[in-house]
Amino acid sequence: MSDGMDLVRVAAALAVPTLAGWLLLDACFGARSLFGRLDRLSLAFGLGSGALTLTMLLLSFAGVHFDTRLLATILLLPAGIVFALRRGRSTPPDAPAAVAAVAPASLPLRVVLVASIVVSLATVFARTMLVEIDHWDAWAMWAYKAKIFFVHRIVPLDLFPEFEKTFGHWDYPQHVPLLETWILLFLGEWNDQPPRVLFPLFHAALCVNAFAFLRRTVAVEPALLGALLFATLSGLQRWVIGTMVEPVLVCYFVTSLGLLFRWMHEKDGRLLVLAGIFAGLCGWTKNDGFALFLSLAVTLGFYVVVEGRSRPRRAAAAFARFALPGALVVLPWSLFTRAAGLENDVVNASNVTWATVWGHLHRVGGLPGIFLHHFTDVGHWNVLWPLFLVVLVARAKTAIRSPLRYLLLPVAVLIAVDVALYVIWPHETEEYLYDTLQRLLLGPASIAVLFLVLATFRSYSPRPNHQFTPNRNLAAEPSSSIGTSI
Amino acid sequence: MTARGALPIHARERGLTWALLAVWLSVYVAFATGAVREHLPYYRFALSADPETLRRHHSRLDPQTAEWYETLQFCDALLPPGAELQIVLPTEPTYRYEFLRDRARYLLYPRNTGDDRTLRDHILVYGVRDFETPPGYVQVEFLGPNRYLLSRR
Repeated sequence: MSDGMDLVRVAAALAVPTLAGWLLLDACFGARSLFGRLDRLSLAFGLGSGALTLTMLLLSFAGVHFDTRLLATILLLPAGIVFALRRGRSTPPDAPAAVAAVAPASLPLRVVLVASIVVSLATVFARTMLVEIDHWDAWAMWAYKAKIFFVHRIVPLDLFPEFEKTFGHWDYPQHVPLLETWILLFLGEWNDQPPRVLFPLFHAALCVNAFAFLRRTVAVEPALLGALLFATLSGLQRWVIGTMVEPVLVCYFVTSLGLLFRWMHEKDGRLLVLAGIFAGLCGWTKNDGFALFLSLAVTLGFYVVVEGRSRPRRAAAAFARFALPGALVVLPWSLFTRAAGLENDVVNASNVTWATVWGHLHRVGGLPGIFLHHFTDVGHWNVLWPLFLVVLVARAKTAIRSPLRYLLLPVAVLIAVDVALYVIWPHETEEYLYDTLQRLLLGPASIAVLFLVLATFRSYSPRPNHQFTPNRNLAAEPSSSIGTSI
Repeated sequence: MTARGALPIHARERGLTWALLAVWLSVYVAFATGAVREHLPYYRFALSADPETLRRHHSRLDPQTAEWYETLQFCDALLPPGAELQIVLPTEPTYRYEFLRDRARYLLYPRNTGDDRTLRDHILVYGVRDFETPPGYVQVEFLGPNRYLLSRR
């Protein structure tokens, strides 16, 4: 960044949505009783960012130009009022759990883990800001849109038919470009370097959210290991450094999955609503995010059908509690693209036909080899996939019979979507197989990390009625300000 | 945090965590140090570069596009606000054409929107030999061989 004032402006730009997210979490979800401080900060950043960009989009629908003070007021005032009103009535936070003194034998391990995470995140941050990778799509598509929105001080919806004549995937959601625009508004001039800070921040948020989720069910050290895997996964780092939207997508996906998995155990409705919102944010970040949303919805659907069959009405209510908030997040942009006739170049009426599927079905034969190529790409995925396979085989019975199966189910859904996309892919197949697919595999890879830690470090003792009781004492205190659970 | 937060890690799990950490970090460091070593000259350059310099650096695809950034900056400085620019480029090789087109669109918006078929107030010709000047246009700036700016009379 060019000078200290730019740094202050960027910090201010990031503080506004984070504070808004913090107030929303506390006011609407009683977050203090659900999350620790660091998780809350990380969740607030993701949630507030979504609230900000959706507000910017809605203002654009209304023809209102962007103004930082107006936007900050819209975001902070209602949330602040509700926060203040509920503060007197809110339940006091849980007493902090007695934190055991760190065993001397664990201290070196914790130090190495934390130091590795911090060093890795710091180097990725530096490499991002030095523009080590200037990915084509990052500037030609995402940052370009941010510039357009900054120049016009609005999303110029009337110009989209013109924009569609040129490269840019104009049907794609505008979450990340609007976030970049927000920073540009604070800078007061177009400078494409400072907004790059968003991507390592989302990467860090991903590590925090993954740790917070894992920490609920395994010891600190394995949870830190999980965070480290996310911090050092080269196949993810390259998209952070290249300022592509994938780290934002993965952050929202892992957050949603963690909240959903946690709800399956604790049955606190607030977790389900939040999971739905973050799943919706996947769809608001990129069209690929719809597949992530779908994989989570299918998983939850399977769960409520299997586990909630004795209470169908409550099971349906639980599914709605997840799906509706997510749908509301993606609805505004989805409605606009439909109304404006903006078509996706792959998934569209003229491409998704039986003739296309039948004509391209032969492609599927080559896929196992392609997947093997990717899974053995150690430079990209480290030893994640071999480890995942070993643990999956070693813990196969537990994986199928315990709640771990609800981690494997979205993997299966996502792989199925990847195969389906390949079948209908209308462009050069090389592009799909060696570029697009590598990015699409980030979803399954994220789950593989979580599965690896949970299956390795946690003993599940599944019972026939699936009211699983872990071997370790996990006495959660469900509380709900939205509704009760199944 | 629940009572779970107070449970210590077992010795076996600690050993397993060390083992996984060792394997994972060994592979990661091996590949990461290779990547960092490869980019060392670039880091030395980038650490002392301002955003403008970095943009210029990344606007150069190959030796044939070395002057692209300066050409675009020249047009941006010369053309009055609200002016629109059409850009005429060699269409082959495709990857270079698309890079030059998209880079111009990115750096010059709103002066250039990437639609380079419609005649605009100004035309930048870059690297195209024997371009036929459309009627009503005159050359206003000569920037080099096969690089010049036309404007509507």
